[in-house]
Amino acid sequence: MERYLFTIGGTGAKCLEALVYMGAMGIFKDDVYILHIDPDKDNGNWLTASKALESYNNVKALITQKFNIFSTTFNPFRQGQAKKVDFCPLPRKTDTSNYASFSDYAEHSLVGALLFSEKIRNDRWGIGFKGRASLGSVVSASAIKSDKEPWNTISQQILNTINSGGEVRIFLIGSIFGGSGASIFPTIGKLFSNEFKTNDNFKIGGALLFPYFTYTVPSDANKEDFAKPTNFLPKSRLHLEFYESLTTLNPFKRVYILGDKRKRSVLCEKGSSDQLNPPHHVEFLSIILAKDFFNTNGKDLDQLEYMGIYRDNNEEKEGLVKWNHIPDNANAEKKFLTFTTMALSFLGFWEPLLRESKFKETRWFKTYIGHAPQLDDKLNNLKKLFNNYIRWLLGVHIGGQTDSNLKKCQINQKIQLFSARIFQDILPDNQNDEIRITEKESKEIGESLNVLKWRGAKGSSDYYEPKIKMEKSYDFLWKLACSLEIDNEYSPVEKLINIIEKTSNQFVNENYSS
Amino acid sequence: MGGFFPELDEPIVVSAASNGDIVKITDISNDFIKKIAVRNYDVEEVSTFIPNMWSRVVLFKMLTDNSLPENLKTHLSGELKGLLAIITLREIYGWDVKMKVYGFNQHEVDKIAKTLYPGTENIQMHVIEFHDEPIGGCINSKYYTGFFTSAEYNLPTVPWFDNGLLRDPIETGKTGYLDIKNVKDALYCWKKQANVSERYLDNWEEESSLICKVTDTSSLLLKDHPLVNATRATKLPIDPQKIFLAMPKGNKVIIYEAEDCNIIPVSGNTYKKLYSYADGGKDLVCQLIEKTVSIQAKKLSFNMTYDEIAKIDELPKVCLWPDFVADDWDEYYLWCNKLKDIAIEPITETDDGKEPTKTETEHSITWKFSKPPIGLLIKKGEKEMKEIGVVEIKNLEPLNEVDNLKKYEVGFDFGTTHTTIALKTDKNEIKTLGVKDRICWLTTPKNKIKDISIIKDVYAPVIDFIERDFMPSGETGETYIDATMPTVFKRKAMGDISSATNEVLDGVAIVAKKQFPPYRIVPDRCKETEVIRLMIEPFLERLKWKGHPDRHYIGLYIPHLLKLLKAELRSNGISMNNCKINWAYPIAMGNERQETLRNFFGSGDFILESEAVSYFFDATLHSDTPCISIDIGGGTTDITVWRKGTLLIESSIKLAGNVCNEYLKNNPDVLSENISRFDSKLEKYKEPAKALMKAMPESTLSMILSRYSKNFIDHIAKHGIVNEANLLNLRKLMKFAYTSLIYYSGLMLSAVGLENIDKVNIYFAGNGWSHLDWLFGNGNRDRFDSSIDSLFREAFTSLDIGAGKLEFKRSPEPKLEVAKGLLYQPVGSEKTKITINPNAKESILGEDGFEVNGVSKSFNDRIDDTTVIDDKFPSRFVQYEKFLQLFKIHGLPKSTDIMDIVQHNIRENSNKIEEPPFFTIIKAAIQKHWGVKIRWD
Repeated sequence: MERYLFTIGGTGAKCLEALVYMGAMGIFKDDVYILHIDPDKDNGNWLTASKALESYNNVKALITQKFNIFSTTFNPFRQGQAKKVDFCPLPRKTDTSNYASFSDYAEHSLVGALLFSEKIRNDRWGIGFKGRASLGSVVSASAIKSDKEPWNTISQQILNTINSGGEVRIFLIGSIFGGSGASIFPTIGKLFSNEFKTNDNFKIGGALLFPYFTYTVPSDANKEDFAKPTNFLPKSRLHLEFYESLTTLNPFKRVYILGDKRKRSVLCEKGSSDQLNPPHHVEFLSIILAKDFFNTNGKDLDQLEYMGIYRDNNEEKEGLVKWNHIPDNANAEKKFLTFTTMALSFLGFWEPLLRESKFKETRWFKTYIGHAPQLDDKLNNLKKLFNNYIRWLLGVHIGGQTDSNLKKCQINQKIQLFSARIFQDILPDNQNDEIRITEKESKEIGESLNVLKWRGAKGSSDYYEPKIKMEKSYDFLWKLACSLEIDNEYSPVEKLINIIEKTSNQFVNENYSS
Repeated sequence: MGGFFPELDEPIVVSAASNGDIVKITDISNDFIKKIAVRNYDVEEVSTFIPNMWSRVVLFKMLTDNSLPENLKTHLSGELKGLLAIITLREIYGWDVKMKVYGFNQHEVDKIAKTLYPGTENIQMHVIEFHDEPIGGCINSKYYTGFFTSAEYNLPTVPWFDNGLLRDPIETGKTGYLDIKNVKDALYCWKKQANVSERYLDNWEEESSLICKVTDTSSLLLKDHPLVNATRATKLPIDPQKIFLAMPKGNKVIIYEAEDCNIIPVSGNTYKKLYSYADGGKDLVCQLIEKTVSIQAKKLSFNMTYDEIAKIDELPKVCLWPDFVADDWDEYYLWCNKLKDIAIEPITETDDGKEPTKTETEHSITWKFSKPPIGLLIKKGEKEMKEIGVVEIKNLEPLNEVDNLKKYEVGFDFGTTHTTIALKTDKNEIKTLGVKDRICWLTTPKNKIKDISIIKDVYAPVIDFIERDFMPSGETGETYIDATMPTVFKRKAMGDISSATNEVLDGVAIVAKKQFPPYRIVPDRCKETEVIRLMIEPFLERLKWKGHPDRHYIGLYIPHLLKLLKAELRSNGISMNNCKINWAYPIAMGNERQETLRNFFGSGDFILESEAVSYFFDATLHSDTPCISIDIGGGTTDITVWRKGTLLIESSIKLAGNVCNEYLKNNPDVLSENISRFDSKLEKYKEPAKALMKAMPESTLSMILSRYSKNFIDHIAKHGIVNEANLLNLRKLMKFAYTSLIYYSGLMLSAVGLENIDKVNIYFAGNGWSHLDWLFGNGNRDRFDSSIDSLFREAFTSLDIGAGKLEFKRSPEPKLEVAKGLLYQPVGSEKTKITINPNAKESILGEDGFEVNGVSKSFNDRIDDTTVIDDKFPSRFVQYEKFLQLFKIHGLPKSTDIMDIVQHNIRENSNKIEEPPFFTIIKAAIQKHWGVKIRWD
């Protein structure tokens, strides 16, 4: 089966970022073609996601073997001569485009005058549609067509696959409360459905993300530059109402509803590179739902169904997010914990060790790693990925965003996945700096590894006693590393990654076993 | 249940599930969408809320579907109500509100219209303008039919425009100078119309279905729309006396009266308001009681005292066409003649965007409307015209809607002399379709029309109306507009020109005289014979396809006929769009002419007249017995030979009723001979006319009589029996000419080798045979006068086709059978190129398209039975001389006597002559002996 995952707009970018890490940790294991569609091509969320993707691909490039981690290949689509994972539906001169000048519609001034106010007609689209879905639809109707790139290439690819007996599934992720996602989501659905709806080997589904964050427009800001959060829910409702009114014409076979009653407050940024929302659990949940869609038996995708993730009503009210709220939670929890242990143990234990020249002279190194040219560069790749991951994971755990530097934001105690304090502790003061682990921080990491998983207060039902003593974490890892059997066919860096993964996995198994 | 969901007013209902389960939401609409909590929203951004370019339209659809969140619903329904209140109350407030069709071109359909909803390329949009500024629109499509307000508008003069938005005027109580009760009253009438209650309209609840499901948006702003009727029920806080009294200004109030016509003493504008208070004008009553005039509409009445009643000697003669109203009919003509001190103007309802066109001539004015006017404003005065009152238009019959599922066929036998029409109903019944003039007389009672018809000064404008204004004018901008145009009346009885339903339309009146009036003024002192000549002469001209200088009138005449037909069909509940029109054409008609007709008649079947007749006689034609159909019309005779449903041979000859006409043109006094048979002082006017109408020159005579009526008959009667010789001469001519046709049909039979058969059936079709009835005093149209019958049989016998084997059959309905035949199922007949029997005793000339022994025959091959090439004419015409032997007429020219004429005609007209050369000889003989030239083309 070929899997296509399209993310749309700023929210979609956040989900793409989550996809990278879910792929890295092996929750999303399969290869997937990805495309991010965003009129605001410079928005910070997309830049962050693209950096995450880049760091992942740099690591992925080091691996030729099939591991439990880093197994996913994120394939770009061909767009003309190049292969790209992003697509901007706007004309090139985005900073000056608006309804009044958009070539396809400018001449229809009377229709425009009836449907849009003068201010909206003249508002520029350089930083997106500011939540105006109807304007988004104007552009998407023009740019997302089967005779235009990359859509014609994608259509042809789908056709080739289907014709050769293969199966294709497309999953879209976008917000329903904004301007881009809400308008592009149905347009893409319609585009491919029109071409392939009669083919049983083609299915299209998606996740619609409802408002899960909000912000307050500063009193000194130009309010017209911002999509207004008060409109998020009314729009969401109307958008879905509109999709639903399409009834039989609705191209989707499954639509997942996703959101959060407790909306996280984020900093108010009008768009472009300033739009840098912190990660959110809703985003990685969307990837788990994508996986669910890809794994669903085709027979169960005959008719449109709306799905959602069940969470205890009271826990929802409280805003709790717990491991058991996540679909396939045992697997997800294990993989999250393992990968996070990997990241932290790499940063706190392995990386400092591996960069020691003396260590390279040790018998262990020579036995397990061997000759490893340009190891430092490869370690840098790993570090960058883990660095980004930790920052992402911290973002998932913060409460209201009071500062663009997540280190300065409060941890949300209702997000009961990880004990996120350690992430915050090891992040540099300057958020743009890389994590540099000092001895003290290394020690702190070592002492935190056995309690990475969130736990409640002592005596509460959520409390657990780690099996591995906190001062023994690194010892455990090292002892394990010394007794591992590693395939000699692996390259040195593959061996290293394999060691870190296996030791972390064993650590998690040992430490959190009941 | 809880989950990772947005803020909901109530939890989603789901059966047992555990944390982390991916569960199905079974009722997405009710269990999720409608539960999404909507607290606040930004009003300015509402227009962009739907992910569709038509966001605003979709929002209003959601409003009508009752699927909006409550607060949005309140806001948008307020806007909608505010917009509808503007439309409803526009007249009361004096606002200029229009609804204009927005025409999407194909590019816009692709780029814009289709994006509203998949498959809605047929979207129609009307833009609602308030003093030329767009304030909203109305969409009519499969997806949504209803109104929406613009994304922004500025309406400072509208009381219920508040803080940038239209509001519900009732809810807000902002109605300006009008009392809120009046506004409520104005809006109340909608309640009577609607059945469905929609929550979103709250205190306008019953109106919702009406408002939001407008199917015909273009009619919204017309008076007959219920929405607009609202204004009729409005009680204005204004003294009605001040509104409705609009008498001529001055010291005295005068009531004007006109005989046979009630003039309501109000101004045009006042009448419009009064009319709107009455039920379509039906309940508007005007009475004069002593010194008081009382005018009552349904809801209003007022009285006033007048000082004086003045009689109007003569009102303009005003008529309206057609005499019915229907939603799908949009062509109405109002005609009036001009008088010196009285003028009329039509009063229309509120503007429907289509201005009437007005055509003024020296004698008359004609208006053309898309909707009939509601009244006529009468003005009077020598220097300055003042309004004195209004004449209501009440007699138009409202027609029901057309059933578009039913399909019909029309058989249209067009003739330049006569036209007949037959209709095949949806139940396959075939009947003739009469055509009424459908003129509704407005200022003159119908029963008095006959009186004016004989007064030439009055009648002239009537003719003018019928002939000039009602007819479509010329398309090429040439002289058409100045020409008198045809009528289509056949007056069954004198004076009855308005009510008769005519089965045979008389088109001979296509007299292309570019003069007005279109008839001769006969000097007082004039010899009787000269009087008759003067009367007849203008009407002897004929509209023919070729060679006639005025044949372009055919281009006006046919559309006119079709227009009459369309009205007649519509009055029978049939739309011409649902009719297939089958059309008959004569054999002689060339491709170019056929093409011209096809342009008029579209996709119907084109069938030869002779074929149509044959279909009418289908049963006999399928027999083994050969059948000859001789269809004599006004100018052309078509002869066909059939056997076993197969057309064996056909011929078209330009020799028919025109022979008689041409003779009459030279000898008009011959008519008196016929009329002289009747001698009662009173009856002599009636019966001769009746007889004449039935007889040959009916097309000519009907026109003459319609113009001169008793005068003409009187002249003829006075003339007495002084020209019997001329009459006898005409009889001989007709015998000679018609027998030549019979003889030739025998030649045709012989040429295909069928002379030695047991029996031959001969059908005499067409109207031309009736000439013989008239000339030979035969009252029985089923058979011929015995002398004629004998002569015809003798013609066949001379060709060795036994007289005992001949069976003659006259057509009971010589014109209608063609029209009816057009509607019969084809008999599967086919033309066959036959090989002329080389051993046939009687040789025949080759016809166009025929071959003799495989060799195509040119024109010169066709001259009699010998080869004739330029100077090699035969020394005599064998067949002609054989034909001559049938007659005992003294002095008939021999071959040698007419050789010069034949040679001359052939050399001069060889490119025009398309008929068998035998008739070139016959025509030469007629020219030689009777002095009558029959045209070649």
